[in-house]
Amino acid sequence: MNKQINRFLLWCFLLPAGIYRRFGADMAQLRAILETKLIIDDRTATGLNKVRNQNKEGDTSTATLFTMLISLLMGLVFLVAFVFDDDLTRMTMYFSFFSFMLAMFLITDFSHILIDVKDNFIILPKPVSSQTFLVARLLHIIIHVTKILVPLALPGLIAIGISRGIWGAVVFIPVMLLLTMLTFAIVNALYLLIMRLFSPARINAIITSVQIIFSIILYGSFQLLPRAINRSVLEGVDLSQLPAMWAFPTYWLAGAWVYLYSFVQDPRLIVSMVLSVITPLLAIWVMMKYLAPAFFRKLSMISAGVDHEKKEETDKKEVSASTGGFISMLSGLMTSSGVERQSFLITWNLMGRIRDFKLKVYPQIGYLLVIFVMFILGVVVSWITSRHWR
Amino acid sequence: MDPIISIRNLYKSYGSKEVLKGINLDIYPGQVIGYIGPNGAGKSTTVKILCGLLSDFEGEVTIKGMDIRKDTLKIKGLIGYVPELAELYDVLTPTEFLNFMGALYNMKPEVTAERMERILTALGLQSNLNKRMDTFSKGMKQKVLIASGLLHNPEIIILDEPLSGLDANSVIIIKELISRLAKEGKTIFYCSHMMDIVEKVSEKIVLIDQGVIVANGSFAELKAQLGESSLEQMFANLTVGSTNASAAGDIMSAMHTQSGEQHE
Repeated sequence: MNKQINRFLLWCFLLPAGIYRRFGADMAQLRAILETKLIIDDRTATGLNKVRNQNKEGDTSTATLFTMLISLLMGLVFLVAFVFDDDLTRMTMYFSFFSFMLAMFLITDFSHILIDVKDNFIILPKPVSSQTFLVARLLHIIIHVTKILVPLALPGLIAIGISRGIWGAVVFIPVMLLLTMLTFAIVNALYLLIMRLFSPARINAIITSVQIIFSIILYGSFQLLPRAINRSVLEGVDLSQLPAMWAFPTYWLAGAWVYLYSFVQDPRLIVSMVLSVITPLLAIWVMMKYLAPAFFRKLSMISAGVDHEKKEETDKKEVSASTGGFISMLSGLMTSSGVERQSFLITWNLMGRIRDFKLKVYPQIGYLLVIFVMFILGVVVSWITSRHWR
Repeated sequence: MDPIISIRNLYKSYGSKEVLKGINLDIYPGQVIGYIGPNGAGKSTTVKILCGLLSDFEGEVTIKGMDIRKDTLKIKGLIGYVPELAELYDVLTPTEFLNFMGALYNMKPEVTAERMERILTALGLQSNLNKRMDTFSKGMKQKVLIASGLLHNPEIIILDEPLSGLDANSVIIIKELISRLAKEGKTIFYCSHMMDIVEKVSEKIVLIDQGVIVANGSFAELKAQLGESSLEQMFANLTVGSTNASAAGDIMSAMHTQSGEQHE
């Protein structure tokens, strides 16, 4: 099925061939690059899939399908936001969930598209123009985002359609697109910032941590959010009049939806509408204008190998810092003979440094934590409600 | 005859670090050039410039009379590049990967398919054509890379350490292949650390150290000039002097150290 999805998406996105040609892209090469990249995506475990594949060695060919399924489930969980009666509150909550999840997906899934150094050795020595290469990379990112976006937004769209009619669903679409643009720009800015501050090796370490945290949050929200539906306390909550809500861009977008849906000439809604349109466009413009050139310079530097030395230096620093002091003291206390001591040190260091180990073990510990919190929460809630009744 | 590759006063630096300091080199069609030098001498940088991957250099590089910075795409089409590390998308199968390579050279799919199958069969990979390359050994990946460098029948072939990981029989095949390609008029730019092979396959040997060409000529010429019997010896003399022997001595004496922190 993933092949059909790929073929369909590719067909859709290659339709405006004339535009791409005007940009200077070679259509045959563009198609070849995208086809290959989509096959690679399907077979590469990234982000969530990396955690999923912990027990399964060997081939994956449905990595994207799995991601799409997860985002569909996540999209269903977002419907929790519909317990709020007030439109503004409900949409703010829904958009916040949505944009947070999308950002997480992007962060964990993006590194292999953005920082793919292999392309420099495989595609660039071939007679491929930089325009073709750029269009291919952009389209690849857009297709990738679409695959997450559509299943993530679908349950919300249907729910709106049922509760607010066709018009509600129709205006929901452009608002979602604006939200996606905004999230995309923010994630990109974050990436660019990280790339400026850290070496590629550190970036990988940071992304690993985010992946671990993400999988724990995902698990936690699967557990927690559906249970929240029954909490009658939430139903009456109305956040729409709080001035602090203006700090959240998702509040503006919620206002935009309400405005488009109802056309009530409320100044608050109109301001929201204007902000919702301007901010994403502004963010994308700033990204393209100021951040992207620096980013591409950095990328070409990584590929040219300039960063090697810098990287090695920082690696050395890290190593000497972690083997010194505390751990050697600990190993002295815990172990007696030389072999024992060395085994302890090696195990300790491997635990901290092997990416696969971290991705396999730390989320499991996180899941336990989530279950523990759920348990405590359950006890507290039942205690409160029992007192309430008395 | 005009040189097919001509390098004039090539300088390249990364930040403040100068990697190439005035390289001048003419290479003629049908020549096999052995390009050797110690780690960090500037070999890979030269290769990247010749492949059109780096354009911010000083000096002039022309290939078939075309400026590499102006006619980059045309020149890239003439070159077959076999990179050093096994740089390929290893979740693909050789068939998928090479079809992709063919498409990037705008080759007809049927032509790609036939050439690919024949090249890989000759290299003994016929039973692995449709298996994912992540299970391949280093030598098998190297064979796929060699195939990808030859697929479009390029005029210039740039090989960066092409024999790494290959078994003895494949090494013989590739050595034979290099001389056959040269006879057909292909120009081969061969970068390697393996002196004995460079000595055998190269018509002309270029030795660089710290960004400067320190020796340039056929093996016989170098032998007459430098008075050494093997390329290995010339390499050692030109690049580090006589410290190799003392380095070995240092290691031997280090192994016999008794004092210090030894456990039982």
